[in-house]
Amino acid sequence: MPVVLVLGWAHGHAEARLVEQYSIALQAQAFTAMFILLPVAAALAAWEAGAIRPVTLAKVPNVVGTTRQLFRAIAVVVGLAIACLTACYLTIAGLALPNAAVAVPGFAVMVAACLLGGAVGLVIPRVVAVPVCLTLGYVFMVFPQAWAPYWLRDLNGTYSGCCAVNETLDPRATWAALIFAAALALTALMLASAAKTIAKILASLLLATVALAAAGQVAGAVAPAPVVARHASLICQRADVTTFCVWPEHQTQLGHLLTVGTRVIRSWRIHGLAAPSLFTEGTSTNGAVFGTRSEASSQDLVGALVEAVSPPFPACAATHIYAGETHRQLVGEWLLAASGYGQPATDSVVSHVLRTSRGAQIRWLGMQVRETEKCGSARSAP
Amino acid sequence: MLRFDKVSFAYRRRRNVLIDVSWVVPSGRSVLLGPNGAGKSTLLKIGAGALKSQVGAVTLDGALSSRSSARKTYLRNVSWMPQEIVVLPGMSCRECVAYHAWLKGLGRSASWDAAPALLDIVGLSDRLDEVASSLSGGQRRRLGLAQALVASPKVLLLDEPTAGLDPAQRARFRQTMHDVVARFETSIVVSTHQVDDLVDAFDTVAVMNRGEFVFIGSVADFMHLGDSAGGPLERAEAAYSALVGADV
Repeated sequence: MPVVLVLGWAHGHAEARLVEQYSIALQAQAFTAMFILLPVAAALAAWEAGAIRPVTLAKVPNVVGTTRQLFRAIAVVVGLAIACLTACYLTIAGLALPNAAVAVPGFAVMVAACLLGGAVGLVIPRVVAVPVCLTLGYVFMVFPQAWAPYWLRDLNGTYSGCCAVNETLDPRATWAALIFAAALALTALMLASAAKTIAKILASLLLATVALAAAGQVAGAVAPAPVVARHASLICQRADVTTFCVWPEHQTQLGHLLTVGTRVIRSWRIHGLAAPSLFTEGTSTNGAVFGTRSEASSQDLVGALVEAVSPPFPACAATHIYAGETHRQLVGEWLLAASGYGQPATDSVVSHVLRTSRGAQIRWLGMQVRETEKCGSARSAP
Repeated sequence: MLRFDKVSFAYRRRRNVLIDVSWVVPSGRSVLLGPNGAGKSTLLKIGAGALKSQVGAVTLDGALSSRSSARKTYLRNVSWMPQEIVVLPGMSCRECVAYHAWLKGLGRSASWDAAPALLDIVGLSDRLDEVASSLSGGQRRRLGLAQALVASPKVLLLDEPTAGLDPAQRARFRQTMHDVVARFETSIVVSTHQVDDLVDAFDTVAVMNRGEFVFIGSVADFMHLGDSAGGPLERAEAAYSALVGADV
């Protein structure tokens, strides 16, 4: 178990390094330790429950029912699994208050998997039950990531697609995993019951189908990542006539952003461009939306501001060949050069434009922006 | 007192194994005789609550075995030792007995504490910490007896407890049964088709054939049926043959 714990922790830690220091994202990545912990825990539960299989096979009636026997047999494994998952969680996500939407499905699926592993250990011999649980547990945790429909990946209690700093976990993904965990637990109890084996297996298959349908109903619209827009308070600060708003995770960047942003916007104004009065990381109808990250350099911040004021991709770009791509690049190059932070190549189009008058530059820019809205012929189906 | 009242039972799609069987299990040691297929094991399973009779009722001190409110009390007071003794893999004798005590509703620490005394009664105190699966056939039966005794049951149903044992092991097991009756004031029913040592080992004889009782009475009455034969064993065999006839 210590080896498994280390492997699980290493996996979760590697995933967590890919996301920002955003609490919910770190927590979600910490739970990817389950990719390794869950199959092993289920197999261990099958092994432990297999020890009491002779009692259930003998069909000696007892005061204590099979379900309680199963609970007792796997109690240590469940405790170990929860302890390992908690250890991974705390060391990867930190000591912050757990986000229930992330943590509850993770723990619920882990406990349900142990129950199901134990029930399998009661029904079939240990030598078969253990490899079956290891294999199916691994398939359940890993393969849905590559399967369609997308919501299948939201059922195993890990949300590796959660979350960029402007996103939060979709509650439907939480509910889908909880429904599926409940179905796993019910299936386990059904298998552990005194009913005939064929009846148990048929009932379990029926329950699994109903659970998949119910979870699919809840999570069907959650795609491709289990996230929704984040609605949290932004931290805003004003410099000159421009306000900059960032997520709390980027608060340390705000001073740097104000310095760089003020300089960029002044420079744009000198070139005749009227920059928006609001740059925000949240959603906005009248301001420019940008995104930054912790440890962003000045160049990164300028790039984010350039992208924020660049024309958006037109809707037709999703279905047609995007004819405006080159013009969009030219706009970006001009914005960067005009910001004072970039120098275009000496013989480039933008370099030539920058040598013209302010009015000519703005007219050229307007023409390029209009071209960015155009699409070509429709893309052929793959 | 355990009472079978007009009990009938058939396994699925087969002829009736028990037909309108009524029996009040007397206190002390009873032996349930009969040829293979007579219905002895089925009757004990119904008595233990492992099977439900399709017709009739089974009661312990007036309480129906099938009534859910009385079920736990019934199962605690009626213990059954099946032919195949349940030995849990990797567990010691003490752990096996303690686990069965927990199954009968005792607390975990009480179960653990009770196990050594029970193993002492069945003569396995020197095997307390030994892995149960390493025990011989006779020792396993005695372990099964300890497991059946954990809740101090009022009735103990033993299904073929001496089948497959050598004469010395059988004698040892009978002595253990004798000690158990003396200590626990338990009614014991032993199903078997061996008639040796009836006089010393049992108080009452019940004989089944083809799903019905053909004799219920004292050992002395049973032996009278074989009066024409010589020694006790021959008389018992003659009485048994007279009752079950061509089915032997």
